[in-house]
Amino acid sequence: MRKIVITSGKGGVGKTTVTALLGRKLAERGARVVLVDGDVGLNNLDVVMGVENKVVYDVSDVLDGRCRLSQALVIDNESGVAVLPSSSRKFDVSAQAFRGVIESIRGADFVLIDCPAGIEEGFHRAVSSADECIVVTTPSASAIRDADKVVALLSSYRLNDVGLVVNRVRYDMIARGDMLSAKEIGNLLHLGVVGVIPEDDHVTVYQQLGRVPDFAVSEKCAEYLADNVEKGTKQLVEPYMKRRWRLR
Amino acid sequence: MKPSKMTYERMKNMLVRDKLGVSDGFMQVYKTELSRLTADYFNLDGNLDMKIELLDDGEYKVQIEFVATETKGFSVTSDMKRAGW
Ligand SMILES: Nc1ncnc2c1ncn2[C@@H]1O[C@H](COP(=O)(O)OP(=O)(O)OP(=O)(O)O)[C@@H](O)[C@H]1O
Ligand SMILES: [Mg+2]
Repeated sequence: MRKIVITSGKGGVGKTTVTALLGRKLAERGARVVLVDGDVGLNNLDVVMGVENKVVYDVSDVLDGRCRLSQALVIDNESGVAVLPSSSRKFDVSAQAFRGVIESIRGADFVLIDCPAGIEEGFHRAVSSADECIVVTTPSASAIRDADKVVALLSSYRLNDVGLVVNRVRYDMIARGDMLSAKEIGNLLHLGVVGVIPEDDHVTVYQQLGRVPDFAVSEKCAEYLADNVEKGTKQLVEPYMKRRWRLR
Repeated sequence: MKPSKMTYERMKNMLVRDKLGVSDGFMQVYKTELSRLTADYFNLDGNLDMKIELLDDGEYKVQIEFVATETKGFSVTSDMKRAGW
């Protein structure tokens, strides 16, 4: 069972989006996937996965013994991905207790933990429960700077691997030399790039409806991300190199 | 130069500077020592204030500010020479 935390430092760069995207793509390839919402109090993963109406119990109920882990997991019927929702109210949960819940997950190939923004307890809780990490950034200077701080912090955790996903990339701007490429961002952060997700209006439109359609360009680019994660490689495919995916 | 190349250089410097950051402990020790030294020359009114800033070329700009009620106004040997000793 591979436990991967998706983190960023800066908020709103696409951790939850990438968690959902990667989870679905891995599941499509036949893997058994559990997504864990690590954002206690600001839970969103259930909404992005479109399963919020099915949530009965959440991680706080598991921790307090009100239900079993299997009762709290919500299945997205379309992809088969299981989601462990987080509580919408803030509650105290130690890193150790959280890790305990994650370690009690049985039969999964991948557990993806959606980390909250910032570098406080929630970050510690999520990162110390994982053994691999994906850092998400956008090409903006402030996101890269925050990602760099996170990368420095990650060195004090026992992680087998740290990879980078660059989200909200505009290939037209990269082609003109107006935006840093994923490769350059990887060099700045000294991280190998596992995925590049373009800026995609479909995400904006369909995420709030709970399902981003397969034809969305971000979904296609996530194939490469899933491929790298599955194989443990860091093959960089900058989407703008693929002509047929160029945005019009 | 392309904007992305300029951004790259700027980001590279920014990230390096972030890492050269001065720790709070370092600044506290410096401030304590400086206050002690300054108090030999001035009667401080309140605390000594200190600001450190990183310049674009990577140098530090340190500003020290304090208010004194009086100087310790003592003479040193070179003053004595000037006074005709
Ligand atoms: N590739 C993309 N194209 C367009 N919009 C995107 C993309 N990725 C994310 N977004 C949008 O950006 C917003 C923030 O994304 P998301 O919630 O995934 O970020 P986050 O890092 O999880 O935020 P938080 O730190 O608040 O948890 C959402 O409205 C989402 O729809
Ligand atoms: Mg989120």
